Amino acid sequence: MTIFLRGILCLWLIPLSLIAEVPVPALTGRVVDLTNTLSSGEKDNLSLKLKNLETNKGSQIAILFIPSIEPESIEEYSIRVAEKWKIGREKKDDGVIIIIAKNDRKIRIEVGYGLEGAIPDAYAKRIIEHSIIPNFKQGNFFTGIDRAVDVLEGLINKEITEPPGPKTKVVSTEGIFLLTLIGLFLGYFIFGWTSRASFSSLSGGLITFLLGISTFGGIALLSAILVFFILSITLGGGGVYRGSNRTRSFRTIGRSGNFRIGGGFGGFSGGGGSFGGGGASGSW
Amino acid sequence: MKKLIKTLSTILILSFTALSLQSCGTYNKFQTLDEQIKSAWSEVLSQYKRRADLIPNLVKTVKGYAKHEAKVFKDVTEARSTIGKIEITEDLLSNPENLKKLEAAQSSMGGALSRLLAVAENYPELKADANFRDLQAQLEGTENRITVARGRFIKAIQLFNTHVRSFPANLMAKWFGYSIKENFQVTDEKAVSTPPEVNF
Repeated sequence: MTIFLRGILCLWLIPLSLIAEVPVPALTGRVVDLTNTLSSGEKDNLSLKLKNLETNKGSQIAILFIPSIEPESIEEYSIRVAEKWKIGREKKDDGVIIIIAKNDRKIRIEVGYGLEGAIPDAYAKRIIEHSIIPNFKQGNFFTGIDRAVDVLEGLINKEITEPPGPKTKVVSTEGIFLLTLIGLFLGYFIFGWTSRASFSSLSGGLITFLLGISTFGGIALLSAILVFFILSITLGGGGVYRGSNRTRSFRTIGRSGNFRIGGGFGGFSGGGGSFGGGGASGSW
Repeated sequence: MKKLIKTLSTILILSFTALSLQSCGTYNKFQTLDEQIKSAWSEVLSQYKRRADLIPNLVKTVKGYAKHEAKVFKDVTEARSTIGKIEITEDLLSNPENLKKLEAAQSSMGGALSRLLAVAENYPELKADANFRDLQAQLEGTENRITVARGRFIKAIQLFNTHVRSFPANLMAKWFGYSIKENFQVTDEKAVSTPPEVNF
């Protein structure tokens, strides 16, 4: 009974506004069509075009067809999508999102910070008024979007000359180094006297992780693994990690510079671009 | 006995290290959150400036078609000069009195501009003017940017205040001299809650 009451109490804590908002869909591809407006051929066609743009220029464009965004305005919904999908490259912020709320008959072109120069609000508005709305009025959704993409591509091509770089995330080495050192120190100190090396290594690693997670975040796990391996080797291989593998793990620790994480997945994901509310909206 | 001392001293050192690491993290988080507030605030200011820069052109264009709407032009000019009188400095954030004044002035500017656009609806030739359409799109875009920038500023302050209040950061907040910051308020609740007037 008390659990039941607590559950009800918890439900009260969720603000009503959160329930009412339309959730941002998962980014399953460059073209997300929740309204089944486009045929699969049209969808592939658009996706290929957008993929080529990214390969040539690095800029990302994503398209979302959604039935309704009410009770929010299209601007409010659109910025939430932008903050979640993070289309465009990090730092360059060269992403564009086209959102079509089909039943609300509303459209918005959301432009990332880095493209506000190439695609000013007035241009975005013109694209909506000249390329999109006339076609949408006749029910030609694919043609409208396809034309809009062509114009956007032209504007981006004029602006961006820098070729795309590799999609990577850089993690600082100093943090890992510091954390590993502390973890090792503690590990030797506390658990060095126990005869079971596997126990010491596991505990040392665990402590490193617990200490690091609040301060250093994600790299705590990496450091914890390092501590675990170093401890288990130096404390005399209690059956966990021994023999020929030793040299390999030491080499990892000696390396300086930056570790590169991420990269070659087949699917599509936002590159970390940010948006500040630039672009234009319209209705048909 | 020896073993006991060793265990005790280990526990002591461990908790000391954990505590100092924790307080480092807490302090750093204060710094980060404070920086986020500052950058969110400067974004708000630069979007206000962007809007102000659009006004001369907009007024000129509308005047070309709607000379007789003296009232809206006066409102816009007045709002603009009120904003001009408020000194915008770095430490405006720590001056709630001035901040409120700026917010009130900016919101009346927003009101004056939306009335200016509403007036334009009555002039078909103006509405068809390409220059006016571009300016209108820019103004809409800027208003949206202001909304986004203000929203992010409010969120940044909320994050900061939550951190100041939560344990154990609240102990350290006193130590480092951080206190709860004032957030934006809906300056004219009456205006927000009453639906806009439409005359046919």
